[in-house]
Amino acid sequence: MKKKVLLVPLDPVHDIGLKMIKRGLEEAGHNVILLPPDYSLEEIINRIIETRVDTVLISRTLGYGVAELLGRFIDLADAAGLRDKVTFGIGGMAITPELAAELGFDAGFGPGTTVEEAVAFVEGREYVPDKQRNKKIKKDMTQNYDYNYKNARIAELLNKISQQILHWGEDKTSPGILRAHIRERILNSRDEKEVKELKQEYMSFCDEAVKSFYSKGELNSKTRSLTQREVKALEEYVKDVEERMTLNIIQKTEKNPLIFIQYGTGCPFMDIAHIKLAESWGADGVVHFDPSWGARTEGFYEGFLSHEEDGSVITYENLSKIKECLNRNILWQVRAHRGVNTPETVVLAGNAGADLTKINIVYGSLGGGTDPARLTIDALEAIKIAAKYNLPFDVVTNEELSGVPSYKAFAGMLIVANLALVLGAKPILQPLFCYSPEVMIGRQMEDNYIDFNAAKIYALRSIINAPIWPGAPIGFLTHTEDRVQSSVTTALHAGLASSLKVDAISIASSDEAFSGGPITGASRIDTLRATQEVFRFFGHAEISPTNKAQEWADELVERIEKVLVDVLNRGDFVQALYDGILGNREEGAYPGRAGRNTIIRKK
Amino acid sequence: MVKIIGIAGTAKNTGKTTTTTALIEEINKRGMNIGITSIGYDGEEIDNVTGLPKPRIRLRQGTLVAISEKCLKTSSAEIKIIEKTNLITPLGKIIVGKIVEDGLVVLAGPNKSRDLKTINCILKEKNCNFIIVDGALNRLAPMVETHGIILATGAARNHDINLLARETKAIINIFELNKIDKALKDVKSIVLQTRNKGIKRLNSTSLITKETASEIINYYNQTDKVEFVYIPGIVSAEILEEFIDKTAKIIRGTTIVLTDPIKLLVSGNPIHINNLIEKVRTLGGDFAVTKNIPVLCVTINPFYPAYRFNHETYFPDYVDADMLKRTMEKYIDIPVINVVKEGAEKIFSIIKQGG
Repeated sequence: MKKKVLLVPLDPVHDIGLKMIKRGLEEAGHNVILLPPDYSLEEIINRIIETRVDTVLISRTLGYGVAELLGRFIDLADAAGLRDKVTFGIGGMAITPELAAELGFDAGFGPGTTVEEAVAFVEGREYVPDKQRNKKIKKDMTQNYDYNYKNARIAELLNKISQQILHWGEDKTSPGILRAHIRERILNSRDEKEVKELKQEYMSFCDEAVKSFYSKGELNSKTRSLTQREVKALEEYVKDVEERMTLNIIQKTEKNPLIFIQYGTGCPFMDIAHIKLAESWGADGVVHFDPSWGARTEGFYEGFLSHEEDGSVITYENLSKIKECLNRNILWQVRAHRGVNTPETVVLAGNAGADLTKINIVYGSLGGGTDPARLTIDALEAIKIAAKYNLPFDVVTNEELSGVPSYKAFAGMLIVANLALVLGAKPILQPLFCYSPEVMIGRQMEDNYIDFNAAKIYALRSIINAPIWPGAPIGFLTHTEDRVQSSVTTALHAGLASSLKVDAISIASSDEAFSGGPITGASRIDTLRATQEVFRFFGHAEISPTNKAQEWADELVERIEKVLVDVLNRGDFVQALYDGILGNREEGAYPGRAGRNTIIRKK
Repeated sequence: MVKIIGIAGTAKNTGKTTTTTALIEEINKRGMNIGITSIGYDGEEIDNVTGLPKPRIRLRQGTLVAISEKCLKTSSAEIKIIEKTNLITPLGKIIVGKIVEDGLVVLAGPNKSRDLKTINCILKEKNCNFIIVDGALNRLAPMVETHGIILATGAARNHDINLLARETKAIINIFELNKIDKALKDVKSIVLQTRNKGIKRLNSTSLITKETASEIINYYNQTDKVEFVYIPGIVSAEILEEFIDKTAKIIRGTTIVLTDPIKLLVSGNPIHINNLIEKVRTLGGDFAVTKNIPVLCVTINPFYPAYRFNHETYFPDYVDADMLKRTMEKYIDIPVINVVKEGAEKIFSIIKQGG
């Protein structure tokens, strides 16, 4: 039914909201009268009587004495007998439904109210937000890529290197691989006796610390089981939060990348709080960040465990609980990339329902501290497991942060990515998108942060048609302890990533680099909101890099090729890692020692 | 007989909630069936405007409440829903519930007169013999549906004690306007009645435009003395003043009849309105109402939120409580109670005596 509506700007300036509502109401076929802003309360009442409207919408920003003024207005309307026939709505800054109840209105609309909401109120309908608009759809960022090489020379080199690696690995295995297979059997077994026996066998491939967990129930001093009370509180917390929360969307246009955040507070309860916060403010995916000791210790604990330092302990129970609390439209990555538990992590990720994992031999050996030979054999198996569980994985180049130049890091990334393709897995390229030591020394970012980051994307795109997910996090080393500065620089890097049409980005919280401890919820929101604003700001407009970007891209491709030639000529990828071909000691890359001399010859 | 008592405030922070809670305690002591509702939003921890902490409302087992659906979530008391109504508020539909476990309750109920009337009927049906209607802000209009009100005022309305007392006196004067029984039936718009029972009906219901005022004056000029001017709607203070000025010589013998005192009180500054009433009386005319709402007593609160301009925040401040009470008592002749100091026993006995 068509309604007659009176729009009343009680605010001398801010009647723009009413003008938008006027247009919306007229488009819906209603008869709308917009009053000028200088009417007295009695004059407004008189107009309501004269015009016989059905609905009155008042716009007023709350300020000192305004509540009393609005209360008096409603009293006048009530005493004049209008409250029986006419519905009254109030909108403006700081207006809430609670305040509308106090002031005597039928509804209150605060900032962010949509025109549709106002129209629904006028039509006496319950407002149902457009679910389609806020609907998150879990995206497979690999689906539009055929992984065809555009640079035949590099493709040829990579294939030859892959064959060398596969050949090298043929007769080798490791405690990590054996544990992964036992874990898979434990997860699949329903026979208690068998499980007990399997755990005995599992123990035999673990470090002392983990053995004493399985034999005596001892955990390391900073780790403990969550209590029943805590588990119950967590379940109630999640239920309560989910009732109140909605999923936000950060993207403004279809080309804006997916947004990932990392969590790893040590405590799964706190992790879930961070995840819920990130979901509410629009993150598309979350990344499970494990403790660094977990990468150096052979074997995993079991149970629902809290840990007092950075990184959340990987156990099947921890991962399953987190998965249970995740919104089903949020992508979930469990990192496996750098330690002596890499294959087993992928097994757990696959069984717990992760969407993505993370594997990189080169970074794990040179920046992550694991022995190159050990990580190579473990990663070969981890990649096969990832393919089996259909888990795409990113290949990160974080060794750049130690000082390895990007062309070497990229050569390493491409080697692992190609190995993945050969083994039937789906790799995602993860170039660093930040102010790396290389550019601090080489001055490629002296003028701007755009050209060199753009060069990296141009270079990768000229080599292979594969998904790209810059990280991790973007803008790293441009952040300071100033939260505003950190949010701005993160958001601008996100704007650049979007302009370069990459598939996803990982963003930090605004206090991540300088928190010196736990990350706060507010700082998490800072960068998510800042990124959303930058996407809103640019829309379909783009950032244009200078000519330097293409120049550096060409140079990168040329140098990548040279590195690959050197690796191939060395005849042994693992030896190339020890020799520093993919990053040497001067550049800050040291072959790791965790798991050294643990390779087992296959019988 | 069921008693419906409204707690009306002259402004925010004048002590409505404190009065309400104290009165509830008194009624509870006597084991009466009590029903509580609110025409605003009350019971929140922090004031919506000033950000200062507020007194909370704790209700006991057995108490009935008529509140919006969303209050159920924010209340700590366990409330069993006994009836769902179709009355809609900004916080959902109003439900009638029974407290089954003591706790804090956020009160937001029917915020317009007609809905309050419906709720009062429902609470009466549920055997409540005492209904308390918690007020909102400076709003009075729905209080027309009560049998009497307790007026909560204090330094938050004005920290000039003398001015506050004068204003309270003016409000009470308006509430105490004479009630006349020989009202015309079915007065749906303004009606003028002359001494020889001549009747003139106008189209307007309220006296809020110059045109309506001129229409009445024209009628004065055409006919015998006008004995009654019935106004079912509201009056604008400005138009009323102009009307009185223009009829100064002919208003003698005229009684301006309003439905209830609230129609005048919502017109603006009570001191100004009271001066206009006095002026009409001096000129030989009068004001009357067809329904009156007695003010049973006045409660006073020395607290006020003071504003720190350099910080843009509020902080609590107080006027001298004894001085406030003495000054108030000098001006008005109904009981003045500082609930925090004196409790609500006296309020209860006043209500009881009130019929």
